Amino acid sequence: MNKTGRAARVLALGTAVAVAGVLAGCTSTGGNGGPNNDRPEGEIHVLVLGDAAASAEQAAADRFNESSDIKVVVDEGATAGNDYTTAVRNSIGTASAPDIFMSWGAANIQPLVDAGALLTLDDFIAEDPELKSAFLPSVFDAEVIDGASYGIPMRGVAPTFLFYNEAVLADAGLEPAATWDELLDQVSTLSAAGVTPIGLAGADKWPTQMWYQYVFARSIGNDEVAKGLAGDGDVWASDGSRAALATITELIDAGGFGQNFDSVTYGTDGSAALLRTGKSAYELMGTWHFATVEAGDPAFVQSDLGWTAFPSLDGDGQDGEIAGNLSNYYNVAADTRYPDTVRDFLKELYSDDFLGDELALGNLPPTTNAADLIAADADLGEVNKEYLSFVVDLVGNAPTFQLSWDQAVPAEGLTPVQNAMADYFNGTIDADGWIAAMQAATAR
Amino acid sequence: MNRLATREPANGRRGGPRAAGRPGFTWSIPAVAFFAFFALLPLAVAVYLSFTAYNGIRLVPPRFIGLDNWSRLVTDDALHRSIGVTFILIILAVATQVPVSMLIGVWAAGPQRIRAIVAALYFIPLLMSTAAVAVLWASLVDPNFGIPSLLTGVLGPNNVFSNLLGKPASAIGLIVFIYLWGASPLHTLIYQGGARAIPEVLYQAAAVDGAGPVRQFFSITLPQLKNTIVTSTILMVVGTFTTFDLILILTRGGPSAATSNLPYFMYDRGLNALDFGYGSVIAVVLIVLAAIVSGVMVRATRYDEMQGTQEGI
Repeated sequence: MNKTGRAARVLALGTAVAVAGVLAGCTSTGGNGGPNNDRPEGEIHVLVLGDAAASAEQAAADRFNESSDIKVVVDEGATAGNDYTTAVRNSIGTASAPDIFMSWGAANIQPLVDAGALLTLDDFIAEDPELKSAFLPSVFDAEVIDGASYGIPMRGVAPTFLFYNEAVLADAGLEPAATWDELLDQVSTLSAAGVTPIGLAGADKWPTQMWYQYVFARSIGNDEVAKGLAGDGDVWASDGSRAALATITELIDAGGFGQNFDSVTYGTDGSAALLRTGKSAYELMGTWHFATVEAGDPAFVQSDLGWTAFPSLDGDGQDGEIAGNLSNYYNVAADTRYPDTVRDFLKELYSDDFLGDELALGNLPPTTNAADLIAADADLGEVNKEYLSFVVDLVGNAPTFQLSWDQAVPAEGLTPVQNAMADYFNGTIDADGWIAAMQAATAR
Repeated sequence: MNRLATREPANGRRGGPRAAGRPGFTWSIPAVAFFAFFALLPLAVAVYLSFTAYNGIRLVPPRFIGLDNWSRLVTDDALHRSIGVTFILIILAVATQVPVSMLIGVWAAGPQRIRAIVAALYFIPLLMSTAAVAVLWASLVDPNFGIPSLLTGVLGPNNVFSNLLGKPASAIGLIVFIYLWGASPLHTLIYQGGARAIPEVLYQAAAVDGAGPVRQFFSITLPQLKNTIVTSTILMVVGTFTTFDLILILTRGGPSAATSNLPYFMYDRGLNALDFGYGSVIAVVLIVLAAIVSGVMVRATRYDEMQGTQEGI
């Protein structure tokens, strides 16, 4: 008995000491008063998302290092956005934190801005205006918070639009739908032909969300949507919002998505395979879908893959409003030791070499000269050029570009928003339930 | 510990073989240190974080907010639901895995070579990582390219298997089935070992008395397997309590949160929402519930007494 008691005491003491140590470690990290000279000497660190596109960033660093005394070190981080964000948050403020890292838009970096962890880039832009003027304003402005710029766009612009299988439509004697009513009319023809009219990877939820993003853009306009996402709950309860929900229901009830969309996934080639094998006619998806479909069947992309803007629909939205993922952004730690080096490296992001590498990866650069680059790029095939030019025009002509809803709300709203999308689509909740869920998820 | 302690001589004198075989606390320091560092310390940090607001940014240290996170326990319907999902999954897992593992394990314990071959094939899922299993099954249940599409000729389009991930009941059923497929080989192995340890003489005696295979199973095998059943079931319950990867990859807690068990809910609130305070509350709830359930099981089955099943043989 005594031994047990002593063991417990030793254990408790050890645990208490260890906990105290950890807590002390948590609180002793530095503040953000200017450059941190504990950071590595003679180098700046860039944490990149560790996927295939990281190669372009590595190449940019290699080019930069040829002429720079202070070297850029590229560290490959996690491949999943969540893990990446968590790693940045955990290290920021310490001497081992990256000087430059990536983010997904204002909601993603707001907590870091609140913590004073990010450098405002306005001084950089004053010294080199191209850091702002080289980029599409609608994309650049997504990381302008309270008038201060925090991010420089990099990687591809990824709006969503409607993909279709040209052969399936032709066999059914149909043209790609230009209006919502045409789309609705085509559902019965396509269903009768044994085709799922619209493929939807409902199990992943975010593809379902894309339908709301466009129907709401057309029905009430992206400016209203942005207000709703910023916390104005009246937007979701408005007549326009209810009309949009009814519009969506009409398409679901007509069998537009078939019966089993909630069992189809995007990641395991569920919906892309539907489209390329002719089992579905349409799919609403982001720019990257081209590469996904191509990976499954390169010949199909060359012959039968079609793409078009989301159909028009009577409502208060302006013509050509779009939605999707704007871009990724490089942010800079407030306590970077070599701000001038960081500034010079960021210029790489609008260099022809870097943008050419991005194009080769299939990413549409978020720059104003993207159309010229595409036209001049000798390595791109005709179909790829046609495709990228379409996306350039789509983005260039768009009066508004709404960031994906689940990315536009604070992190705690992500899952509730996605769940509201999926639950209304499969009938688990009605319009009132959806409105209540969105009001709760977007409340600030 | 207490029970063993009471068996010591009343005068507290230590000596003889018993003392020699039971070393002091010093011997257990490596194990205790390991346990303290990798189990107790994280637990202590989780308990601490559960009283704070912390969004993962080290520059803004956890801020003590008292019981604010804990008070959400009472009102959070999503949490209550995920506790329910967790227990439903456990009950269904035990209800399916115990009979299947026991029957196959007892069968595989027989001496014939064919049994060994079948058993070896049956153990294959045991070798696969859960992530691979989840991806595999996601493809298998795809309504357009998986097993359901092969059944449309027999059952017609949009049959009962077409939307397995889209309906709450079928999604839970699918998870339980994949558990059964993936986890029962391990338990079968345990039952096989347990069944092989039963002395053959018992069956010979029963056969002489005229007992058939069914009677032998219920009167000899089942009682003799008591400790095996308890061990295996506790492993099953604890394993199901903490299942996460399958749900993350296959259903993401869907549809409509029907498969969002406590570990997934903890991940969602803690890491997706970057609310480490509330995520820690869920973690502590998970640990407390698991501790209560395994404690009750140990007590109810008198497993802690570990009585032999072969006394008098």
